[in-house]
Amino acid sequence: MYILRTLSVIIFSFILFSCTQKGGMEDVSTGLYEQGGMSYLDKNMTVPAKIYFNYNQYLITDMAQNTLDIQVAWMDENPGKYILIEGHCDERGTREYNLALGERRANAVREYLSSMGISDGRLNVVSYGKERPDAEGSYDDAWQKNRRSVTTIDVDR
Amino acid sequence: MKYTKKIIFSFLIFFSYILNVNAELKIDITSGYTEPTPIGIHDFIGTNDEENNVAKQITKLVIADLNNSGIFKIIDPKAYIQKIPSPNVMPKFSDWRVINAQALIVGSTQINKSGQVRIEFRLWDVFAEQQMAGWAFSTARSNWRQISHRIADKVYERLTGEIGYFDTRIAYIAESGPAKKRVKRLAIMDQDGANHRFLTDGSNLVITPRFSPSHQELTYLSYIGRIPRVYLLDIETGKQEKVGDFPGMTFAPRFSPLGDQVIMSLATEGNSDIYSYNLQTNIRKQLTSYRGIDTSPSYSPNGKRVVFNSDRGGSPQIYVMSNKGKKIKRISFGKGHYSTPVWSPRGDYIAFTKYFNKTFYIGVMTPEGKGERVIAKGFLVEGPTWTPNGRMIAYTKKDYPMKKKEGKTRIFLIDLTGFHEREIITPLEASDPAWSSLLN
Repeated sequence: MYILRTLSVIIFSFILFSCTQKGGMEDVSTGLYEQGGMSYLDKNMTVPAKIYFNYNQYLITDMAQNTLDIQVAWMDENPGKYILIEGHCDERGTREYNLALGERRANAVREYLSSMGISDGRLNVVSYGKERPDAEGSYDDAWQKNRRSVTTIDVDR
Repeated sequence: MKYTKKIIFSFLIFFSYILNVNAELKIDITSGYTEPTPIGIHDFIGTNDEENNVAKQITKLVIADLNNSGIFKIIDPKAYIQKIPSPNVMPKFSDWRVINAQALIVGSTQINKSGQVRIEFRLWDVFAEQQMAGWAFSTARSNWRQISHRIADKVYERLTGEIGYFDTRIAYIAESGPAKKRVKRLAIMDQDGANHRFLTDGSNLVITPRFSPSHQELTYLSYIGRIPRVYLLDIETGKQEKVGDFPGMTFAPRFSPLGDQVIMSLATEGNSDIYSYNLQTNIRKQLTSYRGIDTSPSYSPNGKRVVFNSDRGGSPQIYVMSNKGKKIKRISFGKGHYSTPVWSPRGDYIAFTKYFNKTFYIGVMTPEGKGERVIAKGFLVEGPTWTPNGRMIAYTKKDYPMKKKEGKTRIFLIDLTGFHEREIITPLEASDPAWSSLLN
C-alpha cells in the first residue's frame, strides 16, 4: 500500500513537472495545446481556442469577444497559420439541425475574425453538430461546455 | 450485379379463395392497442431429412417475424393437438379451436433434383373453417431466409390488409467508444438482425444513412478528409462517390421517390438552404433561400411536395412546400421545437422529432398539420424512419444518464398507434436507422 502511494506521488509529480516544462500537450490534428480540458493556440497557453454559446444561439457574447480579440492578436503575430474554425452543439437538438447550427456558430466566429482584419483566405469553417462533444455526460455543465467553437490550426493547408 | 440474388419466384395464388359465407378473420391494426391474435403455425412438412431441415429453418423464422410484429402471438407448438401429414389435407379445425388458434398456417417444402426448393403453404381461418389463401414459391435453397420473410409478409398482408415489412433491410450507424471520440460506422442488416455487415471501417465519421427506393444505394454524410459532404454508396460494389461539387457542407440527404434526385441542405456563410441534385444530369436546384436554417427535407411519396425543418419563424418548426420551393406553409404549431420531418410512404402522415421541456418525442401529424400525436418519448429520441407499409416507425433512443454516465444509444421500433415498442437488436450501440423498401 505504502509503495503504491509513493509510486503514485512520484508519477504525479513527474506529470506536473513535464507539464510545466513543455506546456500543454500538442494535438497534431488541430495544432492546439491541450491541458486540463482547455485548448490553446500557443504553447505558453495564453491564447484560449474555445468560446461558448447560449442554447440554440450563435451570437458572440462579450466574454467570447474578449477571447476572440486575443486570438486576433495571435493571428497577427503568426501570419503563416491557416485557421479552421469548428462549430459544435450540445445534444439537445436533432443531428441535422445541429449541423446547421454548428455551421452558424463557426461562421459567426469567422465573420468576427474577418471584421477584425484577418484575411478571409486564412479562415475556414467546419461544423460537427453534436458529433464531437467536449464534455461527456448529459447534464447542464456538460451541455454548456459543448456549445462552443474551437479555433484550430488548419493543419492540412 | 444487384444485391438481391437472382431469384425466380414462381409466385402465384394457386388455390382460388373459397367464397366467404361466415365473417372472415380480419385483424384491425389501425385503431390502437389490440391483444395479439393467437395463431398456429404447424411445422412445415418435408418428406425426407433434407427437406425437413429446410422446413424447420423456415418455420422458425416465420414464427419469429410474426411474433415480433406484436400483432400476432404464435401458440407454443407443444400445445398443438393435431399433427398434420400434408398441407393438402383439410385440418381438423376443432383441434385448433380448442387451443384458441384464430388462424392456422400449414406448409410444405420439396427439394427437386436441381436443388430448387418449392414451398407451398395455406392459411386457414380456424373458426370459419375456410382457406383464406394458398401460395407456392420456388427458389434456390440458399434463399431460405428471404423466402421465410416473404411467407410472413403474405400472412401479415392477408390478415391485416396492410402490406408487410419483413422482407426488408435496415441501414444504421454502429457506434462505439467514448462520446468525445465516438467511432461511427455505416452498417446494414436484415430487418431481423441477420446478415449483419459493416460498410465503412470507422476511420471517417459517418451519419444519417438513407436508402434509395431501389434499396441498392445509400446516401449519407461522411467527414472524409475532415470535409463534411453528402456521399452515395453502392451497397453491393462498395463504390462510394461524393454527390455534386458544392461550395460548403452538404448534409441531411434523402432520395426522391423515383431515386433520380437527392434532396439535401447546403450550408455556407452561416446559412443552410435546401437543394435538389439530379444524379443523372448533375443539375442542382436551390429550393429555399431564407437566411437561416432550412434542413431535413423529405419528399412526399408522389414527389410533388417536400416537408422540411426551418427556424424562419424564430424556432425550429416544420414546413411544407412544393418540389420547386413554392407555397411554403408552416404545419407545426404545438409547444416546443419540431425537427426531422419524414413523409410516410403512404402519404397520410409526417413523422417528426419534437423537443419540449427537456424531453424528446417522436410524433406524427397529417401533412396539413392536423391530428398531432406523440407515439414515443425519452431522454433523447430522434430521427424517425418508416417501415415500407407506413405502419411502424423506427428511431434512435438514448437512455437517461445514470450517475453522470451517458446512457446507451439504441434503435427502437414502434407501431404508428404508439404500441408494441421493441428494441432492434444490434451488435454495438446504434443510431440513425433507415428502413429499406420491400426487397422483392
